Amino acid sequence: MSEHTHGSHDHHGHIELEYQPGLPINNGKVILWLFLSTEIMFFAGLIGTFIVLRYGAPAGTWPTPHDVHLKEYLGAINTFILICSSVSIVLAFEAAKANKSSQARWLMIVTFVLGCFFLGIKMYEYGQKFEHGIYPKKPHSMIYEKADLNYASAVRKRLATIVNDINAADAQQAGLAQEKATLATETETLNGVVENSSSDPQEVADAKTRLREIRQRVSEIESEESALIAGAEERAKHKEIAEPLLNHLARWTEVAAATQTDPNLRVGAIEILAYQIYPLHRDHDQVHLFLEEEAAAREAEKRELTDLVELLKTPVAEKDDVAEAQRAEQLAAAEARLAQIAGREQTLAAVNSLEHGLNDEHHWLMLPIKIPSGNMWASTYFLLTGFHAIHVIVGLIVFACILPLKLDRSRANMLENTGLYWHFVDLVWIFLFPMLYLF
Amino acid sequence: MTDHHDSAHDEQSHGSTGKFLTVFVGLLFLTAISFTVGNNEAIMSTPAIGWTIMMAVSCAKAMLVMLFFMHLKWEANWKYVLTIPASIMSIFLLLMLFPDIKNRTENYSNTRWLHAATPATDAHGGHSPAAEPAAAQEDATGH
Repeated sequence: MSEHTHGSHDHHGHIELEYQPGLPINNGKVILWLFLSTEIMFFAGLIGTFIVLRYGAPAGTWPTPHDVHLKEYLGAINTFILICSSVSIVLAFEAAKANKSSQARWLMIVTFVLGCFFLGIKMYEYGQKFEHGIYPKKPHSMIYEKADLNYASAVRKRLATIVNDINAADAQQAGLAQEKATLATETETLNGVVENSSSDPQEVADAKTRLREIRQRVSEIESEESALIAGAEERAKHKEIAEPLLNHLARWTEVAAATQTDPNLRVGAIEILAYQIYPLHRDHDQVHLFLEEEAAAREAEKRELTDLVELLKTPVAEKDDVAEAQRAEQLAAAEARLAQIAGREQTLAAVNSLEHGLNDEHHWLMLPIKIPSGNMWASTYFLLTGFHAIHVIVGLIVFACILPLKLDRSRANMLENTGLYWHFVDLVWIFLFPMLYLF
Repeated sequence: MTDHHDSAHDEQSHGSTGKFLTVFVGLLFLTAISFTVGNNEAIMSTPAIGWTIMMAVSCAKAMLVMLFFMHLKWEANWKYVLTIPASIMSIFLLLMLFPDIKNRTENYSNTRWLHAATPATDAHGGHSPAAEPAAAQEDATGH
C-alpha cells in the first residue's frame, strides 16, 4: 500500500507515519504466495501418504492403471486441458494489464470452460470407477483383496440373488395372469346374470357392483403386469446366463474349494472364478495353468466315472434286492456327477470364449471382483484426485465471480492472483498425472 | 489492489504472448515425453528408470510453469523465502519416505520375512516368501 505515504487516505487527523512498505508487491499477492507455500506442503503430505500406501502394500499387489480401468489418454487429455487453461489465464492477465478488458474477459471465459471440461472428464472417470464397483470401501465397493472362500461365497450369493429375483418376478407375472383369468371367468358368469331377464333385481345390482370391482382390479393388474411383461424377455435372457454361472461356476468352485485334497486345485478353483469375472492381466498365465490342471483332473474323473457306470450297468448273475438298490443309487450318483462335469465344461468353454470378463460382458451381473490392494488403490486415487478436483472447483467459483467484472487495468492484480492459484492447480496435476496414470 | 499503476508499468517489459506460447509448446512436448515413457514397455520393465524420467520431466514442467506463468523469473528476492523452505520440506519428505518404504524389504532376513505381509503373488504360488525372498522382491519391482 504505497499510497499511504502520499497521505491520500489520511483525512481524519491521523498522525502521518512514514513507513517502508515491506515488499514491492501488493498485499494480496503476498498472502496468495504464503497460501501457495502451505499448499505445496499440503500436497507433499498427500503424495507422501500415497508413497507409504502404494509401496507399503504387499509386494506386487498394487493395481496397474489397466487393472482398475484407468485410461491413460484421459489423464493426458486432462493435462493438455489444464496447460491450455494456464496459458489462457496468463494471457487474460496480460490483456488486463494492457487495459483490453473485453479480450481479458474472453480469455477468462475460455479458462472457465476448460476448467469445466477438466471436471467433466474427471466426473466421467469417477463414473467409470463406480460402474465397475471400485469404491474405497464397502458397502459399495465390490473389491475383494484375495480369491478365497469368502470371495467365492460372495459370488455365489450375488448370482443366487439374481436368479431368485428373476424367479420371483416370473412367479409374480404368472400369478397376475392367473388372477386375470379367474376374474375373466367370473365376469362371464356375472354377465350371464345381468343379461338374464328373469334374474332377481337385487342379484343383478350385486352382480353389477361386483363387475365394477372386477374391472377396477383388472386395470390394476394390467398396469402392474405391463412392466413385468416388458421385462420378461430380458429376464429370460439373464436367467439363461446367470443360472449356469451359479451352478457350474460359483457352486462348483465352492464345492471344489471345500472338498479338493490337492491344494493347487483348491486354490486354483477360486482363482479361475475370479479371473472369469474380472481378468487381471498378471493372473493370466497362472490361471491358465490352473485351468489345464483342472481339465486334466476332470478328464481323469470322467474316465473313472464312465468305467464305473459301465460296470454298474453290466447285469449281474445273482439277484439281490439290497445290492441292486445300492447299485442303482451308485449309478444315479455317478451319472449326476458326470452331468455336473459336462455342465462345468460347457460353462467354462462359453465363458472362455468371451472377449472380456463376465462383469464387463454383462454389466447387470455386478459380481464381486478380486483386485489385490484394490480398496487401498481406490482410497488413494479418490483422495488425491478429489483434493485436486476441490481446488479446481474453488478456482471455477472464483472465475465465475470475476467474469461479470470489467477486467481492465485496475483489476489486473486480481487476475494475477487468481492466475497464480490456477497455475498451482495445474502444477499439482503435473505431478499427479504420471503418479496415478503412468506408474 | 490500489497500487495498480506500479505493477502495470513494472511488468510491461516481460511476458510477451510469444514467450507464453513457447512455454506452452515446451509443456506439451514434456507431457508427450512422460506419456511415451509411461507407455513404453521396454523402459517400464525397470520401473525405477521410468519413474525417475517421469518425475524429472514433471519437475521440469513445474519449473516452467512457476518461472513463466507464475512470473517467478521476474520477481524480487522475496520469492526464495516463500518457495524454497516449503519445497525443501516437501522434497525431503518424499525423498526420505520413498526409499524407506519402497526398499524396506531389501535387507529382510528370512526370519523377518516370516512376519512380513505375504505378497499376494506368492499366496497362490504355493511357495512361502521366507523360502524365496528374492522372488518376492522381483515381484515388487516388476509388476
